[in-house]
Amino acid sequence: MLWTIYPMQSVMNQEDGIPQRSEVSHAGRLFIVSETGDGVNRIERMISTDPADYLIPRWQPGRTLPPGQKT
Amino acid sequence: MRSSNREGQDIADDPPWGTMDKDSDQSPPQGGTKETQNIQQLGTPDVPSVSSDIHCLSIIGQVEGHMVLPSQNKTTKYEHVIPQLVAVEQNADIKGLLILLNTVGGDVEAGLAIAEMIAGISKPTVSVVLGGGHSIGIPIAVAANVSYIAPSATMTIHPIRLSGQVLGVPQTYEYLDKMQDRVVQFVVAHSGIDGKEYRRLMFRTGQLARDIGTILVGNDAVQERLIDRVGGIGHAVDHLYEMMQQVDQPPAPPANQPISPAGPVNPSGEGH
Repeated sequence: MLWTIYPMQSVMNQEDGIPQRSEVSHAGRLFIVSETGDGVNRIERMISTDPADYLIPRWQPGRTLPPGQKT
Repeated sequence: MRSSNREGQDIADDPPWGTMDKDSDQSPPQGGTKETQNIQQLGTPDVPSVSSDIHCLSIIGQVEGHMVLPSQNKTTKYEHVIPQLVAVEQNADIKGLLILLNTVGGDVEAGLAIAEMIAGISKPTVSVVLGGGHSIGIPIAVAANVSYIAPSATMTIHPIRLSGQVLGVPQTYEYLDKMQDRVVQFVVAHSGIDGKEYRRLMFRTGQLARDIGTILVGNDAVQERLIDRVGGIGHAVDHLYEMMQQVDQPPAPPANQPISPAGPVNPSGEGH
């Protein structure tokens, strides 16, 4: 249920396709990332049971992980 | 604003690609420096490192819920914000929480989840509505101990809406009414506005071009007792520090009353 002042067609209009997401492990945490096209992984979500991890700026959604991370 | 990590290091000491995993590569990407990374991410080469006992949470764009929104949307992801708020509650170095809002609304349940988390934080909390705090942004704004609104900021009060398949049965309206009720009850419980008045604003016709509802600008929201005060970031931070000081140094009891063993002072603000 989306409650917003934006018209739904503006919110839901997907122009650039659905990005491919994958799971990578980094520094002992699991990240859901999407590839930006130049080999860099962009963080979509971090999965961690330690709340303190969510205060770390470089692991916020939208930041990038170093290249070469693997699952 | 301060961030802390498990190792107790100051985040400013970490390179942008640095990790706490000793086996990982700590070098920046090919051809990149820390300044380049800062410019790309933040638009400035030097990010000042300031030690602060306030944590700042930004609620921006759409509040993203159970469905990932298309990439052109700026979103606030509740799955990151909620554990972050747990960390704010747990971290002894964080003494207060400042919530900055510039949101067009979003998922109802995710927004209410964030609002309930903010309302449940035992440390002093102050929210500031900047730009806009629309739709589900209203419960998030009023969830703090004290709420501020910038003079030019707006808040749209309008009915919730349903997208997708809608069944033409009376139960659809009853469901919508129930969903609306849960939001109205939260807002009324965490602000000074009356339930009837809030619904009157929500169902007003003639103000919005393609919708039903009311737009409140700055002082209007304070007049309606939805928001506590008109003010900006300076006022909000000053007020937050005052509340934090009250927690650290509770006021002495009157001289003619016995001193009893007391628990922590509740940093409740005005207006609720």
